[in-house]
Amino acid sequence: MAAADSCDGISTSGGGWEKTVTLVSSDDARFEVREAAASLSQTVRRMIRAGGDGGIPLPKVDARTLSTVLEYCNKHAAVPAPAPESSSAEAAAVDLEWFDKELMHVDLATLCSLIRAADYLEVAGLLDLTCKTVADMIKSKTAEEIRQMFGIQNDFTPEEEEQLSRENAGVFE
Amino acid sequence: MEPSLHGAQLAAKSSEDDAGMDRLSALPNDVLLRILLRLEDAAVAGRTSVLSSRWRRLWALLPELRFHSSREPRLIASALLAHEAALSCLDVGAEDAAPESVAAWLPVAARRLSGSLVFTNRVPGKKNANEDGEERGAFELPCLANATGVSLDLGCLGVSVPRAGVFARLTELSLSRVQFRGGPCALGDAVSSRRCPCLEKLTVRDALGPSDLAIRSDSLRHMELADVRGLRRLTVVVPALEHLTVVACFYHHHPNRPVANITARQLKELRWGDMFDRRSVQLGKMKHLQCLCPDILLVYGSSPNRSCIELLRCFKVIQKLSLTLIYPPDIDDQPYLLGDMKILPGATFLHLSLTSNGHAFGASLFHVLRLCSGTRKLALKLFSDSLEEQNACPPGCICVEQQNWKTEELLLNQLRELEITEFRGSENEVTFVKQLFKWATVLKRMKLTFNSLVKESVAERFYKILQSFSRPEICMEFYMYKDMMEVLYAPED
Repeated sequence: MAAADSCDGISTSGGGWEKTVTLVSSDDARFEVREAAASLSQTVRRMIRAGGDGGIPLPKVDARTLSTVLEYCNKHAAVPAPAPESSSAEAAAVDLEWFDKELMHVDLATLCSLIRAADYLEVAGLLDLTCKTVADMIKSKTAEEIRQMFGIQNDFTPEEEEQLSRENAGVFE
Repeated sequence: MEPSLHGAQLAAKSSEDDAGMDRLSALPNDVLLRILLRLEDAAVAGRTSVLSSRWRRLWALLPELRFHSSREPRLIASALLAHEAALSCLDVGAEDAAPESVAAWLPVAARRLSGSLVFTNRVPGKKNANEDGEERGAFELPCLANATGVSLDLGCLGVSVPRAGVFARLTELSLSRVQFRGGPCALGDAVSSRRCPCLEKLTVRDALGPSDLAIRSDSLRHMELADVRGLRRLTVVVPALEHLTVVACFYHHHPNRPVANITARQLKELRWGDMFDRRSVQLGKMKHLQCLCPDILLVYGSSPNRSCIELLRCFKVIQKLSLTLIYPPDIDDQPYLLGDMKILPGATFLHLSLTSNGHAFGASLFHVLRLCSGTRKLALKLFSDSLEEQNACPPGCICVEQQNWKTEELLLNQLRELEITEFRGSENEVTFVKQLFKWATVLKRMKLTFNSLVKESVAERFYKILQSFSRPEICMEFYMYKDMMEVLYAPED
């Protein structure tokens, strides 16, 4: 079932051959990635199965965003599955956690692009990570602080606002 | 609302095309819902409704709602009424909630819920309100017709179980710290097949009442009753039941006899940590029983292990037998109780948990092994509170009086596998393991795990000592704890 011309091969540092695929961003940048890493995206995995030539086109993701997504995929796919009893399993988990934290040090625009890309590419881990990052930014902030942080425009009329605060008073306030 | 609102509105407008652009609100609904879900707090998610019209009703589409903290639980009802989507999970936490406040939202939840319900009522400083016999207020449990899982930890609130209504989709029910009201038979009737046709797992823990529990179910597989105070009569007619646990229910009614009738032909595991009397407890045919775990055995003490010994006599052979032996800390002037145990079921796998409290325990384990000498695998778990526990046994303690086990013959000529956990290297442990190697003439494999407080230098010493008892054909594996993880220990020679 493995396909087609989008699959090339490169030699890994270990000396063995590992299958790679080429991904093409909306602005025509080409990324050669290990298939194992690219397959963290369910969207890409389906396209690999379907086959095709000249690389896998991803028209909804620009090069800058795609490179960050692939950084995530490479890191998370690189982790070998160590024996569950060994202490290196825990060390690997700590390392990944640190990596994730560092990856989320981005501006809001980039964060939103990453969310969109993770959603479109169906990279479950990255989608959860980015959504959690936004959730943590929202937590313990007032409505006005949230609006200012994300540039959300308050489009309620004064009457609507009054009604809302009446409704919420009995529920969430 | 804040007076500065309109100023902020203007600011947002003027910078729409640059960094101030609202990219977040432009994300699709399902992504925004993921973000709201990750807030893990329905109240915080609900407060986003004031941000803008885009956010106005988003929270109401959440598939899961979690309310924690000690907020007024009545507000949960309002939120549930305003919520729109199918609700697959409702998780409510409360601090010392009054029964009326639970009654305010639970019926609404019952109508809206199509998944699992978790309610935890924390009562600070009170682990168990049943002890003092205080009668707490009660509420009526509505019929949760569409719930698939219900877990209620009520902090000892009273609940009356509904007398009618079908819990049509319920597969798991757990009730803890609860006082049952509404007639002695209400609970049994509610969880039986007629009204819980899909129920597979039932757990009742730390409950007051019912006195009479009769469960007739075709669907139950797993049932646990622990600390159900006041239980006097238990009837279980559950042909598909695989796991049954009854712990510390009838003890509260001591010295009256426990009355129970268990019909569970498919039972695989029976844990009966409770009073047992063959005259009043009927265990029907259990041809498929694999694992038996009776009540704890006191090695010394004033009350004999009658229930446990009597239960053990009901079984001739069993695949796995799990026994718990306990030496009380102070055993002076207490009689030795294991002598009453004269027969054990033949077990392929013997699991022994031992709390020695510093006493010399060889004699009791010798006694058990002699009665179960056909076992092929032995797992020995040595419980202890601290490394200095050897000092707990005072000089001249009666535990050392029994020395015969060191010289008497014992042949464990089926024992191939030995697993020891929580080994600390006390003199008692080393002496016992040395004897065990002598008895187990065909031993093939031993796995020993040191207690997590044992340091590497100490482990190395005992590694060498234990190796010296071993024979070449025995494969020995040692494990110890490093940074809370169990790792293989193999010192370089």
